[in-house]
Amino acid sequence: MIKRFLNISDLESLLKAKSEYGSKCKILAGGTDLVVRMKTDMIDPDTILSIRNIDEMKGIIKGKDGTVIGALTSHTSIEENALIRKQHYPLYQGVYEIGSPQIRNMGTLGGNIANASPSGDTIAPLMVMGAKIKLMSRSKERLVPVDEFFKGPGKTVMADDEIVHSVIVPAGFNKKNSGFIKAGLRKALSIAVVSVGWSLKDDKLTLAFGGAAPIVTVAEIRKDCSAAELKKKVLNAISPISDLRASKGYREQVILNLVNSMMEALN
Amino acid sequence: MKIRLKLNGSWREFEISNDDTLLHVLRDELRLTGTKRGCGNGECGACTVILDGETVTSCLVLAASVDGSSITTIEGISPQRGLHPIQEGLVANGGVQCGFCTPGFVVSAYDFLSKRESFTMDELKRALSGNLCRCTGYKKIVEGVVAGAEIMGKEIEND
Ligand SMILES: Cc1cc2nc3c(=O)[nH]c(=O)nc-3n(C[C@H](O)[C@H](O)[C@H](O)COP(=O)(O)OP(=O)(O)OC[C@H]3O[C@@H](n4cnc5c(N)ncnc54)[C@H](O)[C@@H]3O)c2cc1C
Ligand code: FES
Ligand code: FES
Repeated sequence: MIKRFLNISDLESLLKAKSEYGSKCKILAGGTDLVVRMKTDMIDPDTILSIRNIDEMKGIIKGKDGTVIGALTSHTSIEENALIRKQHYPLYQGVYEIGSPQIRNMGTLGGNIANASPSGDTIAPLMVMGAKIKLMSRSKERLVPVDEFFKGPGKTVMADDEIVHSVIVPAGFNKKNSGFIKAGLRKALSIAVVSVGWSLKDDKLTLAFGGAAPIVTVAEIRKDCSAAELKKKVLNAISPISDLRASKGYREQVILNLVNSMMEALN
Repeated sequence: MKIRLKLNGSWREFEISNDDTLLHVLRDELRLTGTKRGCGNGECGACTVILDGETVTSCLVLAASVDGSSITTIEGISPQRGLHPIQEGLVANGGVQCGFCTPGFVVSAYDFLSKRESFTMDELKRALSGNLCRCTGYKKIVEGVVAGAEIMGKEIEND
C-alpha cells in the first residue's frame, strides 16, 4: 500500500522530499521497472515521489565536458536526438534496442541507471564512452564515473538522500569508432540475454559486457591482440549465470561471438 | 486522492487510490472497456493508450502520477458511428481474429499515422512492435493498417 503519493514538479522540492523520507520513499520516473516490481510484490514502498513533471530534469544539451542528458529524458527522446546519433552512437543503439515504443516513451535514462540491472541497455554504452553520473542531494552534488557507480544487481553508490540528476557523456563516439550489440531472444520486448558495447581510441579497445556478470563489466585490450588473448580477457571480465533465459555456457559463447563479429567488422 | 484527466477531449475529475493503475481506472471505474488487460506487465500492448501525445502501456502507469494529463483511449479514436479508417482496414484485411489485441494495435497505429504524412514499412512495423497478437501472425494486421493509412491519404515510401 502506498501511504503517501507526492507529485513533485521541481528539483528543489524533490531533493527536500528525498532528504525527508530517505529509504522509506521510492522515486517514480517512467515506472517501467518500479511498477512491475510493485505488482509482483518485490517491493512495497510507503511513499512515492512521482517526478514525471520535473521538466528541468529532461533534455539533452551540449556542455563543455560533453553532452549533458537529464535523468528524466525518455529513451524515445534520446533516440530521436541528432547530437546523440552523431556523437554518442553506442547510446543511440542502446536505447533503440529497448523494449518497445511504449516502454521507450515511458522509460528514462535515470531509471535505467538507478535500477542497476546488469542488462540495462544504456549502461554498457555509457561505460565505453567514459560517462559520469551527476548525483545530487540537498546538501551536495558529486560526479561519479559510471564504472564506479554500480555495486551489484540493484545496488549503487547512491545514498538514501541522493538522486540521479543527469549524465555527462564525452563526445566523439560515432559509427566508425564505437557501437553496441545486443543479442535477445526476439526483436522487440526482450530483455537482452547478453550485450557488448565497444569503443576504439588510438589502438586501445574498450569493451563492456551486459547481462554477463552481476554488474556491467569492462575489459581493455589492444586492437591488434591475438585471438587467444582476446578470448582470455573477455572470459576474465565476465561471470555469467545460468537462469531461465540462458545458461552460463550459452552466454559466454554468445558474448565471444558478438566480440568476434565486432572485431571482424573493425579489421 | 482526487485527479483530473482530459479524457478523450473532455476534462473529468474523480477519486482514485494511490495504488490504482491507469488501466484499472479506465476499465473498472470509468467502464471504458475497449482498453484491454493482457499481461499486466508492459509486455503485450493490449492496454495501450495515448498519454500527453505518446503511447504508453496503461497497466504500468500509476493513475495518481498523471493528474492533469490528457489521455486518448480507443473510445476516443473510434467514431460514435462507423469505424476509423484503421479499423476499416483491419476488418477488410482479416487483421482481427479474436480481437483482444485489436484496440492496442489501433491506438499504436493511430498515434504513428497521425504524426506523419508518409512512412516506410520498417518504420510501421517498428511502431507496432510493442503490440503482441497470438492469433493473426501480424501480416494481416500490417496489411490492414496499410489499407487504413491509404484511406487516410498517407504515403508509403520504399525502405
Ligand atoms: C516490457 C518491458 C521491456 C523492457 N525492456 C528493456 C530493455 O530492452 N532494455 C532495458 O535496459 N530495460 C528494459 N526494461 C526496463 C526499463 O524499461 C528500463 O530500465 C527503464 O529505463 C527504466 O526507467 P523508468 O523511468 O521507467 O524507471 P522507474 O521504474 O521509474 O524507476 C526505476 C528505479 O530507479 C529509481 N529512479 C528512477 N529515476 C531516478 C532518479 N532520477 N534518481 C534516483 N533514482 C531514480 C526508481 O526509484 C526505481 O527504483 C523493460 C521493461 C519492461 C516493462
Ligand atoms: S496489459 Fe499492459 S502491456 Fe499487457
Ligand atoms: S486477434 Fe487474437 S490476439 Fe490478436
